[in-house]
Amino acid sequence: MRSIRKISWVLILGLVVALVVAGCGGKGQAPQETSKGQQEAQQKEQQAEKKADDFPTKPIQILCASKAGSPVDVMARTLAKHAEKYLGQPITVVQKTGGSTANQQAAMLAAPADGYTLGTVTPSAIGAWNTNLKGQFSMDQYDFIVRVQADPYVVVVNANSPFKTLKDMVEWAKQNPGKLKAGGFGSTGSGHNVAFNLLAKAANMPFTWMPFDGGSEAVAAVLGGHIDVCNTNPGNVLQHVQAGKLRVLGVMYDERLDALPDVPTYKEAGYDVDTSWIQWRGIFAKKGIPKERIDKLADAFLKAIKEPEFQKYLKDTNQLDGSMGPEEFTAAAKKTDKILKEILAELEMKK
Amino acid sequence: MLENLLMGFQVVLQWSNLLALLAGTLMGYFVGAVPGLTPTVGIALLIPFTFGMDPVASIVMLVGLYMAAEYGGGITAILVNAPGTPAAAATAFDGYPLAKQGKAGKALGISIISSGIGAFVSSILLILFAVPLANFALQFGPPEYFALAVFGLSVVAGLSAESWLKGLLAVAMGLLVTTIGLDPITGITRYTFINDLMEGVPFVPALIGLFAVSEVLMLFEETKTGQLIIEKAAGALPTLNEIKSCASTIARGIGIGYIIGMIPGAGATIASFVSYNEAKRASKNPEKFGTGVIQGIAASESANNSAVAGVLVPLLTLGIPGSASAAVLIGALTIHGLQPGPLLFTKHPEVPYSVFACLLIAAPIMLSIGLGGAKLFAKVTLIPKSVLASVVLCICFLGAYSFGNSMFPVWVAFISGIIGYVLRKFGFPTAPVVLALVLGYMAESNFRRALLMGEGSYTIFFARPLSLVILILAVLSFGSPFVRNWLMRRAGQNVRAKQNA
Repeated sequence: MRSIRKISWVLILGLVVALVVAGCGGKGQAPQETSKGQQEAQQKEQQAEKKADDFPTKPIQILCASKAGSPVDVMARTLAKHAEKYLGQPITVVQKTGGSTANQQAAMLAAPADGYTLGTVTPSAIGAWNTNLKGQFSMDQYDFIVRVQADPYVVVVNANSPFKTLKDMVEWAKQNPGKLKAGGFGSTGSGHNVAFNLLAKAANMPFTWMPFDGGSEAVAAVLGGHIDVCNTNPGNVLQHVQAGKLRVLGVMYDERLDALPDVPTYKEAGYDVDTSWIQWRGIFAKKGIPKERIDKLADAFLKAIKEPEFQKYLKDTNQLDGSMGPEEFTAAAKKTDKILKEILAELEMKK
Repeated sequence: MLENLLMGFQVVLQWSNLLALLAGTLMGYFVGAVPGLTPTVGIALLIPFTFGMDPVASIVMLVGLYMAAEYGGGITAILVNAPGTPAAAATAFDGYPLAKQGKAGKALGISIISSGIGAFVSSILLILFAVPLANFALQFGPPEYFALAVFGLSVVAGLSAESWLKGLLAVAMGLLVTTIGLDPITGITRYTFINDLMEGVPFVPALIGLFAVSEVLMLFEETKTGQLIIEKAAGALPTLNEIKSCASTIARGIGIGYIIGMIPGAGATIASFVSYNEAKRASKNPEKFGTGVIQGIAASESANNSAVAGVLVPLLTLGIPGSASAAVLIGALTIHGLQPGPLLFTKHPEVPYSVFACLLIAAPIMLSIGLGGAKLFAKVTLIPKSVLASVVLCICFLGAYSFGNSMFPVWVAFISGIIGYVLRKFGFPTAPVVLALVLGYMAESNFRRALLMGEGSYTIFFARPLSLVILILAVLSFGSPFVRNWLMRRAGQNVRAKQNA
């Protein structure tokens, strides 16, 4: 008994230390220099920039806007683990959640643009720039460094559903205006909502959107037959499809997916939808980091993504390798922004 | 199935897995006992450490932590009225009064025994019925979730010791607070003012404030005015008869916890509140609840541990997370290349069955640590109140900070602490506020989703059998204390009338 108690104290102590260290991680790295030391530091920094090759000389932080354990967090942590050896410095992932990514963005903008503070980015941030955080934060304040994953959208129905193809669904929805209940993660303007709206626009199909608080809740609703169709990502439904509980009607992507070889793309089914609307996850940072540093970071992250272990993680979670360097990623993010703005304007008109 | 289970035991009993289980359980105790460090945060903090571990060892460690954290929350709920986890809030109702009476050991003993039995029996239920009951969770659509939230709210009358009107007002206040944030259907901001409020008032810091911080303020007051009564050493554990007297309450708590746990989104907090209310209703002396009745502790603790096994049903069989902790657990599993869902049992049977075996082994481990520690924990009540209050306050704010690595939750905890203090000073119970904070969003979002589903018609709530049944249960649960009071008053009048005659 006594020895168990001793061990427990040691463990508890260890955990406390770990927590304190984790808690202090954020503060400890903020550069705090006295006015006298500032000049010297600046000189040093200029020298460092001239050399540029010794970046990074201290640990790098990735501020994650999603909760610990969420898919974005898992992506950031896995990426950090594999990229450390290429940068020669530890990379820590710190949660800055809340406020529809506002807390993360505020923390990123407060830090210097030196490449030591990065952040996770998804289309949610682009959604926020166009809706709730409009006027506070904008796309122009950031540099997009590397895109990691791409996750195409799919439309699924219950295996008992009368809809066998996308066409069945569209025809029924047209005959019964407003009766088709389509569900997915997030309210109007969310990634899933926009994806379904793009399909509806191409098919000229009316529907009622049922927003859910999470992707798996929407999947549960279609499994239980509470909604007619669900807009989701392949990883959320593949198992249920293999178990014969759900049927995927179409894939919003340029080509068929390896995991779902029998499912046609929207285009194949006859609906011309812009497939650049895709769920992606990547890394961005405050604008103004020297280009060499961005390239160095992007290079390290891209190498990490190519590693077999990282590729295995992508495969296990049923996601596609969506890796892109800074230029490509910036273009892709801008495209996402453009599509979103168009759809939001159209939805506004319908009101 | 039996051979799979044996295989599960074989896997878990390897020394490395057993060690992982022990470590998870101990950390669970700690995580559970610190207000603000919920099981969800604990699991999330541990995930990076499991990267290099074997998948089974890591999942065993995380499940052990989850289970033990649900118990650990009861320790601080009893000792300092600061529930370490939301689901332990109902444990404080009777646990804290007992601790104040100098019977902390008794309260802790009952809580660990009911937790342990709850964990063990519900694990057996999980093993036997996980697969057949897999589809139960799917029966719940938006109308049913709304009905369930109403059912949860209906226990308010039972939670309001002095005045049900004050209880209702407290619920209304909590419900109003849950309207802050993004509208669940349209995404429009409501009463947000600052970005931090966009996702609403965070529940855990609010809970810390309403219970723990307000209690600290009360303690400060007591030390200042010298009303403090110094208790005697509080080591005595419960007697066998006392444990026996809780048997039916524990059995009921296990059933309630398991069923409510299985419904995604409901979880351990609602389970413990409902179980507490049912125990009170079934009791011969319901008026004594809230003053230090051991059955109250048994009801809450057996239900919240049983709910963990319930949550694992949809998690393992469907891959659907029933709680925030479950969502993080799914994240942990996927990191190791295991996707919970219908194929897990056929593709990787070693995973669900070692989870089962781990739960069965974890319960006795948890029980022995808890009973061994009860006397030690109980000594907390001997710490001078002024010192204890400061330490608790510190831990509360640290816990709140860790919630989002920012100051905002700390402010939430602080402000709700003051609100809680004022409420208590005016005789308003704080538990109904917490209940409303848990259920308000669930009720509203599902009410509106159900109306979308029913194309604007309210008949959807009554036309679906499951929803109708739950709503009727809610009416019965809400009305029964009133009916009972009325009957008792009438009986009293009859007796008096007879005496007069």
